[in-house]
Amino acid sequence: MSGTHKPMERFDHNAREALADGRLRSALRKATGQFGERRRAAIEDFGAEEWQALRERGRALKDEALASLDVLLERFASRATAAGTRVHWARDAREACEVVAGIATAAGAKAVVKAKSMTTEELRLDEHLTQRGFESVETDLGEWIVQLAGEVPSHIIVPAIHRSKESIAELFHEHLGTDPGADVIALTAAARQALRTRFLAADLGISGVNFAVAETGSILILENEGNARLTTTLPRVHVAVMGIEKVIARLADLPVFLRLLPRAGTGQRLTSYQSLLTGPGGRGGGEGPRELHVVILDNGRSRMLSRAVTRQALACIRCGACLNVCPVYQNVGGHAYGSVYPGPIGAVITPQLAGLGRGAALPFASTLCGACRDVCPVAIDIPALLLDLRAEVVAQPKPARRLERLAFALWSFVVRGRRRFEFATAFARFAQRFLITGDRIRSGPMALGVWTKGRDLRPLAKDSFRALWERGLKDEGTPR
Amino acid sequence: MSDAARRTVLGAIRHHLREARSAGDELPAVREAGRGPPPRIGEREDLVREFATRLGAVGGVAWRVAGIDGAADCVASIAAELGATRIALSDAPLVRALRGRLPASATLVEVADRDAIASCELGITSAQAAIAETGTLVLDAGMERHRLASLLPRVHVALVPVELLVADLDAAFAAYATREVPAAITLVTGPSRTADIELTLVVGVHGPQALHVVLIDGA
Repeated sequence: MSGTHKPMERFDHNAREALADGRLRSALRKATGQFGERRRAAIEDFGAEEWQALRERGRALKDEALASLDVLLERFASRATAAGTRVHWARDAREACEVVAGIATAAGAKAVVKAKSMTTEELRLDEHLTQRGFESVETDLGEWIVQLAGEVPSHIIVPAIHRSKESIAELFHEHLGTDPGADVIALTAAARQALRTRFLAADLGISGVNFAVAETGSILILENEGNARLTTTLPRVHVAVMGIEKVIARLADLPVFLRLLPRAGTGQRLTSYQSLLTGPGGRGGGEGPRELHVVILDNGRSRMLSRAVTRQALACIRCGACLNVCPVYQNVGGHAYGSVYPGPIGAVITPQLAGLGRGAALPFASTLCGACRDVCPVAIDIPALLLDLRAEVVAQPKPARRLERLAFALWSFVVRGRRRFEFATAFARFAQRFLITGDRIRSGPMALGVWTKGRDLRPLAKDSFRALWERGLKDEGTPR
Repeated sequence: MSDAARRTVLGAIRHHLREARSAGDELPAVREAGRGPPPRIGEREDLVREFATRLGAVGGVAWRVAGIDGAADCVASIAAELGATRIALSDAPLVRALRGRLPASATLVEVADRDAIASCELGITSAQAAIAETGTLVLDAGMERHRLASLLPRVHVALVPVELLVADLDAAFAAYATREVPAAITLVTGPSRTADIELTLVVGVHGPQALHVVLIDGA
């Protein structure tokens, strides 16, 4: 099954499984290709130079906020409290789940509706609430499909991209009794109807936060479907969960991010809806919830502040652009990463949040081509981060890496002496004759055989540059 | 529990920022007055044109009418074409002025009861600003009760005096430099949409399937 949780330790294995799934790969190609194309068109329309300036401004605003994160979070908390919001803090996932479950219990809530939020997926909040006896329903169409099927999202913007419309029609037929041959429009209408009932019956709404404004104590949520508006308006209690890195200084900074995020994510000028919420709206006869709670979560983020290279990952605004351009992600999809944060940014965030022990394989799930850095709307240097994490992984003593270490030690010994180098390449030129098929080395003994299983190796040239030089190249090439 | 967590989280942030500083990182200060380019100011007719183009590009419909009479005719014809039997009205004076000018067969829902609003096919509100840059409505819940009327019915009609058009997002947010930020500001750009099934765009999921913006001269 392509849609279930995979252990992140086994990225290699998961990737192979995903590569064998032809339907998944073509769905991924279509999605990543389409989003990439839309992003390019949106930026061209905006103006390449203007876009560059906007990225730099967005990044500078994030850097400023991260450098004063303690001050801004305290300011946010005090302004939010003054507006009637209840602010909670959580050191880790377990504590955050406890806080949310506590709020739900105190409110006497039974039915919970959720708007799409990666942070709550990081917490596995759904599982926790279900275990505690709450009935929690995802309301974003893609997330709901994935939840009905008992799966996990495969793409951060299109969570059910791994499923065909036929398989979704079947799923809806089973759960809602709709026509098994229903088309996309009919399926969407059925979802609206089924979920509208849930919205009207819910006592508690849970959402994430895209930006938190310190100046006003407000939270901002972006979306297209309207489910986040319903989640934050209809139930009498609303809980929003945010990572510490979501805070920005001023309300006037928002337009910068409102121009960056939709263009980078879906190629839209603006998503259909933004909700800027400052305190509960339902007091004194107004519309909206009677209680608004904001949970501020650390869960491994604060330690990323200590070094410039890791700190920049906290500037991420979760647009998904780096996933769509990544040649690895385009082929293996989100499930192989075994984390709610897949793709290039996931490969740098996951090991830092989950610890290098569990996420150690992920920094290697990249070709270092740099496409992610080029498209990032806040100019995060993801390849530099990947290299930094690789160095950290390699520095850990691990028996599995002994052969690799030995090979690199030998390599470094050989290339540091001219004689040794010449002897080694002469030997390799001799030995490779037995391995070349066509113009490539396609198989070999031992470690070379493992390496060539998935790749072809270009053989060494017949003569070295030095040999060509000695044989007359130096006379030809020198200008007089 | 929460206070211990608060102290630990803030303490960890301070600790790691101190580490960064002692390693020689230059951490930028928050510039209290550092702002981007000033909000754009445009000619009204240009703004109207830009707004209508942007709204049209995302599947919304812009109308331009003269005075409250023009607005009433426009809304009445939208309601009639829809065959609306129940219409939710927000509490804005501009919207309440439509009473008696809508199809007599339709029941008007003026209370804030959510189940009553949920059963309406059409919701009519005004807006506190409209943004030309993106074709966006600004719904300020401190000025009008329109959170549900703009969200639950299948069709949303918004009445907007043309004077409320602003050029860009910066101008819309700059208005709150001198005004209190209400419990909810909702920005609305076109009808609700999804592409979650095989990337096929479907207009009208959880929010309205259609959005009409009636721009009024001399309201």
